[in-house]
Amino acid sequence: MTDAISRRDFLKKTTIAVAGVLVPVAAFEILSPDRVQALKTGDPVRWAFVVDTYKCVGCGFCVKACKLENEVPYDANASRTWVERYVLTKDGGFHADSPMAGRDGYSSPDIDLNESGSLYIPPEDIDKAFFVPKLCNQCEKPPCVQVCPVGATFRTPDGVVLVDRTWCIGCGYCIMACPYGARFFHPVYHTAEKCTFCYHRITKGLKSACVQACPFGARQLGNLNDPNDPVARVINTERVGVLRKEYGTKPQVFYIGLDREVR
Amino acid sequence: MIPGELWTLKDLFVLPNEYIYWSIQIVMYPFMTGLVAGSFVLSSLYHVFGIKQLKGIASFALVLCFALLPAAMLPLVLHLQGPFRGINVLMTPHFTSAIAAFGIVFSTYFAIVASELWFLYRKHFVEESLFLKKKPHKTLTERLLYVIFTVLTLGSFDITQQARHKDEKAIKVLATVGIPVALFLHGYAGFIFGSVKANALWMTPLMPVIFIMSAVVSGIAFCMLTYIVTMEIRKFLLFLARREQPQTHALERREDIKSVEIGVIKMTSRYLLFFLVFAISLELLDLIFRGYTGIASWDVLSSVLFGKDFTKIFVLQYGLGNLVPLILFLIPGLTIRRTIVGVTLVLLGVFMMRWNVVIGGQAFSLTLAGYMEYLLPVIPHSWETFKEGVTGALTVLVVPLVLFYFYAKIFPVFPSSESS
Amino acid sequence: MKSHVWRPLLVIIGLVILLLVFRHFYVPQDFGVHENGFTYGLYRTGAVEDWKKVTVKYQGEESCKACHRDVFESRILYPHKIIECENCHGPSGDHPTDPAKLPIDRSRELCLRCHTKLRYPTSARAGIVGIDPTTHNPGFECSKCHKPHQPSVQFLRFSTEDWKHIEYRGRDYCQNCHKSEFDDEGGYAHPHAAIECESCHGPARQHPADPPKLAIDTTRELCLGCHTRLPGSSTAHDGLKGVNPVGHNPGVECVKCHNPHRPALQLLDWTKVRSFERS
Repeated sequence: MTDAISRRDFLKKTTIAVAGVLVPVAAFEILSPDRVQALKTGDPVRWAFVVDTYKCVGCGFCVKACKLENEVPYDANASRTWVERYVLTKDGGFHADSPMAGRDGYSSPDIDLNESGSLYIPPEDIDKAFFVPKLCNQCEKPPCVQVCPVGATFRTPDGVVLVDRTWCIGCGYCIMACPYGARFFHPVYHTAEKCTFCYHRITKGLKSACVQACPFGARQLGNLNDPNDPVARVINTERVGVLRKEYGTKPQVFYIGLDREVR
Repeated sequence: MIPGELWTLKDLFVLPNEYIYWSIQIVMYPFMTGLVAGSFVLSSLYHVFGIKQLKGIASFALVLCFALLPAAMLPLVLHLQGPFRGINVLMTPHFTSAIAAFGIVFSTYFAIVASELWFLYRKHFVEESLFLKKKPHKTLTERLLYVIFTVLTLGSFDITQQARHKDEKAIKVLATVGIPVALFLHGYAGFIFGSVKANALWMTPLMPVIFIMSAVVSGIAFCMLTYIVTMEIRKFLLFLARREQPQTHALERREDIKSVEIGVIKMTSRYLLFFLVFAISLELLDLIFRGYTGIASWDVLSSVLFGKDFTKIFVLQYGLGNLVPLILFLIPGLTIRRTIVGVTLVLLGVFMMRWNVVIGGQAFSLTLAGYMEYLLPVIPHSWETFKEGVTGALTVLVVPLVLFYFYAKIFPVFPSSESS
Repeated sequence: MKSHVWRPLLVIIGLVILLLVFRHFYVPQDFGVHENGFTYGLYRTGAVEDWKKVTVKYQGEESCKACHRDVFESRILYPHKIIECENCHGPSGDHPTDPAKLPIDRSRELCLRCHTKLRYPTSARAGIVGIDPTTHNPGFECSKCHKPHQPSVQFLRFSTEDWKHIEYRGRDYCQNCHKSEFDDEGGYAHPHAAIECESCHGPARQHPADPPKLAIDTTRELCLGCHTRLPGSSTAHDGLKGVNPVGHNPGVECVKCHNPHRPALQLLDWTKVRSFERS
């Protein structure tokens, strides 16, 4: 009975033990997943984009703004960013178009089928229909950069893929390699052209032209390295999708409301 | 206009930036490098493996290969949006790109073929140089030839048996080393397409192998065709000479030429058959696998393969380009006439294979819900429609023949040739 | 090395050296492997600076507010407040230095981007009020009735009483009586033949019963709505002939020289033109 430790002694020893353990434990910082993500690269900024397809109404102001801001000829039949329309009918039909890349918005219910003319779909036949804005995904592992034979396209430390117009030889390999159809030949410069997230604007603290132009907030640009950034919040806490994940490109454009039929 | 918009016709749902960017010149490039690789392999079959019956065609094939090399670069120069920046591939090659390999491989290959030709014709250069040196009154052409031949000797006039023996060894080494390089020269072209994961038709590990096999086939067929044509021209010229001066030697010569031809042709056609069978097996294998596994892209792919492109693939490429030549060469008692038909069809088949890969791969949209039709410009009305149309393709085909004509004056391609 | 066998190799080595020398001068100094490794980071760092130097064209509506406060205040909270000024007026760039004025696009197409009614379930588009452009006053500018800055129905340019009576009849209705206006000799000609009569004369309603006469608007403003040529104009009106309104006979009515029905320059009454300054 005298072996049993006294109550006083027990309390004393426990207190010392716990206090002793707390010292090294305090050295471990409990990191939130946000902060882990943020610490991934050394650069203070990691650009990412969120597209909310529920909000897009197909007005096309983003495409107009992009063309004028980035000097892509207005009447050229290509664009750094574009809006697609999807109309899915009750009989399982699939219809989609992107007339002039959505530059003039969607002012007609007729689907533009290029050579196959146009198709009017009565509203009562529609199951669901929506608009999907698209742009360069600024992939973390861009296949377009991998296949450039001369090092004319590259990824900046803050996560934007750019083209060096003075070095591009115009072989078109990057255009063929992009799974998203984001690239094309600039009709004036004859070099590869693509969305740059308006690099000249975002590096000055402005928003990309398309983000600023969108009246409905369907497009958002943000910094993944800042856990308080609203875009980073959306990506980390809401359910978002990406395009063609199976290609391993690690795209940095995230979609809310990505339907199974989106191409 | 976006480059490519001029000859692209979109149907159904196609992304705004999609056009047929890689057009006829990109079809011509692997076709030409295929001829290059094939003719080199043919020449090496004699120099490396000592297949005696191919002696007659070996030098011919090598000189033709050398004429094809600059012509093979032409489609790329014509295609580039910035042709003057083409050297950037040699200046800052990004080796993660298959196209960057072009610079190194092409230069290496050029060096090998040029060196091998030098060793092969060194004796001729020395003889011609010394002969022309002794001649007191040279015409302008002769003076030019004298300079050319002297420069080409690279300062070495030693043509003793010992030196010639060293030449033979060097030729053997170069011809051996050149085979994998030639295969790489064409294999990398296949890799360019096979590694593009974005394209449902191109993406397959079989692509480099298919390209190499069909390259060898086309090279051999092209050599056979040019060889026959050249021999027929020689026979005809001899016939004309005989008519003017009915001397005895001329008659014998004609019979000699005829017998050499058949032997060479029969031997070469066996190799052609072997590679032909190999090539078609790989292509059918690829098709069967795609159909069997049926991934998401199979719907649009099958509608292109069995619908829009059915004639181009199954009638022209597989039928006329593979099956018919196979039958023609297997039937015993091969004649020159049948050979001509056979090799021409083979070349057609190889060309259609390049077409069906390059253009076929752009016939459907990334959306897998749309199509693009290629309208090959025929009558040129601008620089763009010239270089990327039928005229551009014909230019690329004609240039090596023109070069070959001039090369043959410096590198005589027939064993017992009379100097012109 | 005495053997002649090595000569071709020497030639090749010579050529390679030449190539390397050329390369030293040709490739810019800042070209190399930077962050992101060889696969994704082989480039010329100067290219990043090149992209940063592109001029910013769209300034954002905050910069418009400084001078155009009245418009801001008149713009009722919802729904057009969500639209950036520059969406309709184009990029402001260095405005008011360059361009001096931003275009005012009055085409139907601008409004129909959002206001063609598309009943698309699951899309926010379904919630936007809209019309069927083929039946709702086709050929007329939306801004004839709707104020773009105050688009709500209660702010239509006509009183609700008028609004009930607005009736554009279309030129076929005019042609019943005004035949001379339509004939090739003296009638209205290309390119104004494409404009609806009522675009300039107002809605016909029950004319000639009511109103007995339609307005003839001879103000400069009516013509300048389309025919102002401004630098940087990128509206649907590109391709239209235009003038700089400040320099081209300011204060003088356009109709003094130009016949609105037959506007082609070769039909201009040059005797009248000479008496004014030309710009």
